[in-house]
Amino acid sequence: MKRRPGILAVAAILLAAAIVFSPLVATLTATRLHSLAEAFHGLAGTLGGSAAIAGVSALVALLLGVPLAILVERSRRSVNRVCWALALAVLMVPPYLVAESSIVLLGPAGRISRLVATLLGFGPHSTNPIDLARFAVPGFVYTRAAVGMVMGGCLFPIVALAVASAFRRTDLRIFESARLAQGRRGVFRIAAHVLIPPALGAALLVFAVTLTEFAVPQLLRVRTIGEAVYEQIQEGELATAAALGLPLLPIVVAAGALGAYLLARARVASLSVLEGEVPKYTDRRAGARANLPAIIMTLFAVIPALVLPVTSLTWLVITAKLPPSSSTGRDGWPQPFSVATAQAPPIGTHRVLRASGFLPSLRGAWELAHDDAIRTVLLAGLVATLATAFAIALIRVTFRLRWRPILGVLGAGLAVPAPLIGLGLILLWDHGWSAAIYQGLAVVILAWCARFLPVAIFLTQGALARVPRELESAAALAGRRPFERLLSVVLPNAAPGLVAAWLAMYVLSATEFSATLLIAPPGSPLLAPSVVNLMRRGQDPEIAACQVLLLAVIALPLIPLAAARLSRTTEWLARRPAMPQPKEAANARQ
Amino acid sequence: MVLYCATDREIAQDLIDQFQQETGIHVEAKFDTEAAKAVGLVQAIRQEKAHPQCDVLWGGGAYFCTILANDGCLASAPDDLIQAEGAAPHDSLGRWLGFAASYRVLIVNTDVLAPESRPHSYRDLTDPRFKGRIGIANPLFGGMAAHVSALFAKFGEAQGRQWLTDLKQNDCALCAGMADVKNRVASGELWFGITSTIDAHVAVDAGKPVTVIFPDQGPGDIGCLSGFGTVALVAGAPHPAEADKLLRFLLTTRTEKILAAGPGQNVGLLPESVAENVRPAWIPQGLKLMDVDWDAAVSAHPAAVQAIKEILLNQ
Repeated sequence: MKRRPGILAVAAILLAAAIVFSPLVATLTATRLHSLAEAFHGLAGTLGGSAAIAGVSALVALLLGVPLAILVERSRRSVNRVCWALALAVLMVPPYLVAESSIVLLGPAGRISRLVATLLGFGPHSTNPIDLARFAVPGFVYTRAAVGMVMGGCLFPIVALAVASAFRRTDLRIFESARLAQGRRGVFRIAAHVLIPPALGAALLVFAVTLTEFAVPQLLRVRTIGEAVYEQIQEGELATAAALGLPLLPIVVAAGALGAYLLARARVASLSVLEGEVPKYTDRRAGARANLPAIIMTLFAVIPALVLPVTSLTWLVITAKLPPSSSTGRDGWPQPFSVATAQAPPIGTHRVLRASGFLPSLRGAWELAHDDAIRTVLLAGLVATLATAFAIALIRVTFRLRWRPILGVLGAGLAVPAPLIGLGLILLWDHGWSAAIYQGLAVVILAWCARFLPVAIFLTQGALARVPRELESAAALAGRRPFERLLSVVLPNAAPGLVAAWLAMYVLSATEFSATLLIAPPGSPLLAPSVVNLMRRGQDPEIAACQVLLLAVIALPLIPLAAARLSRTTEWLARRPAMPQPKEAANARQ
Repeated sequence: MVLYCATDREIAQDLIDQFQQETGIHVEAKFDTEAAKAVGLVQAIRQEKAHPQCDVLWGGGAYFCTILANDGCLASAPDDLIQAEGAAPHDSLGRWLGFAASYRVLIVNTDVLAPESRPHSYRDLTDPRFKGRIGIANPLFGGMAAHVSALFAKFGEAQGRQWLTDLKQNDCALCAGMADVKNRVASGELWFGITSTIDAHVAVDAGKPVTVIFPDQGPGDIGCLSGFGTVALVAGAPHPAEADKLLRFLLTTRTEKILAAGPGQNVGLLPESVAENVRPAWIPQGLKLMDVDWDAAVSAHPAAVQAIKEILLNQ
């Protein structure tokens, strides 16, 4: 009987490792690995630069995520929900859209940067229209720091979720004790002890995800190791491309293992929530007065990855109106669509998005891509469900044997560049015996799991660690079997964290295009590659329409979720008894 | 049948629908994106070589089709189709056939450059007057990689390296792609850059303050680089008969007229199209074009990449 969990755990870990690492291994062995030294020649700076970008990204995620989590967790319930909704909405915005909006608004010719510079008196001291048009703001958009800030701004909710999870499962009496003993200093010391480990673990995850990002550095003109990998793939040197990613693996393995270890150690479970009578730690500015800092911090944190893209998108939507066609356009141009032939094209008109404004473009985008959108929502939902369920099972079976730090190794999968995963899956599954998998959507499921399963595992670990062990022990003493305990005790208590894991997996999958592009079966396109394809030749209305379509589809599962949470909040507010203030509770006990 | 389509979906989808209606053959298409650079469908075909899934590759250009052909991934087209190409560019063995041209042009912001000071040559990218305000797509990838390799093949490594060195000294921005070059020029961040007629037309049609210059048209100039659509049969394709029909559907003047009228704004290259002068009205006739040997360009690619890394990327 004792061997059974061990076998299960080994099988589950091997399966997870196979899902995550098999594409990398396939690419490593695909071509002869030669001239490795040559491939690495001159890349030291690029590797260092990539690490620096990832470091900035992790730092930004920490600076935004930690205070946000603490302040929002101390705010009132209604504010708490709104703030978290805003913070999690950040995860829905693909980083390449954030990078584009940062150029449009803050770049050398940015709408905001130029305006601000002019208002500050740095503008051209001339009325010559050419001088005015040539005015550009020397900025930092095209720097490594900017790439790190964009990525950190997009990924900070991962840190915030981890910190909030630790905060919620902490016995709040220790803060009260620390305050009584050492005042504010004591509170900081305890908070650091409790919150730094999960914050660092999540920041290391952000570090890993940033390392292999390709689209954002490309757009911001920064060379990274990801570009070198793409370059080798273009040359057909798959093994060399895979080898270039190898130096990243130990970093990410160490990060992942450390994160998992810290997360396991930092568990400060308590029954205080159930005891009900214990006064909650309120600090001096708790209650309604805690709302304002929470709201301010949230608004500040979502500026890079939510406010900027929404501003840019809104601008596009408002101004998205094409000039009417004329026989001679600007600068003496002839009508662009005319054809210098006597006959009109003999078959139908082009079903292009190009139209007179945003709404027609949105309708055109929907007509072209609605099947892709529906397919993407269903498939991403399925992948998120499978990955979260598998992560729960994996963590449960490894937990009993105290093997969970091993799961940190899976985090190395995040360092595998996406195209390598796509190409590796082609090598693995494009055979006669596996045609059903390769030619169907199953291979997409494999690709998305290979890319993002480590994220699901990390977030699920945090969610499950939140459940007090005492509860499960009590259920066991009451005669509940393991599966019954999972259903009746663990899952309900871990539900918020599990929903976050599901959402992260869903959003990451639905917006993935680098691997999807390679392995999506012909005739079954998926939304992210389609939208990126349509945006390629986009004019303003089309670009706005494509972005809105992508964001709307990603947000789709959030609507019922938000509605459910809102109704629960309303119900809770209606039913809740008057909460005793700490002093009142103390008096009552006396 | 399965079509891998590196041509934009916006351009290709209606033609695919029309082919299905006319022939009753169901086409399952897979599209590429510029953001994937050249690691999209071209690499998928490479990796599927042992068990091909694709019947026809539409797009990718002569450069990447030559690479695929040299790898043994492409099959020869029927002789009559090769002969029907006439003077249109094609592989001598018919492993790729060209049609529907587009051009690499200079896109210039009209707000910042008065007509008399606008550039007229690819060489103007190295003019110190424009220092820090010029851009090209990242030459390690995609169409610009082909462009630089073509220049290396035509002028030799020494001149190619000198051009790159001059670009570096002129603080040339390496943008994410030709569409990115177009966006940055349209915003005024860059004054001009190299892009394709397809992208340039998007900006002009949207009323952005830009104009297009077909470069190097003077006496003794090298001419404008022409890109063009390509179609190719994949070696060992599972549906060769259907693939043949699609090739015959695409390689017609009717298709080129549709492409000329659509967002691709292509110029007809097939003999009948040339006779009928199939082209968007804004693209001038009698353009002087750069003479490119794509086999030589592929051969020059390693030297070009090495130079790009050393000179532009300091690697």
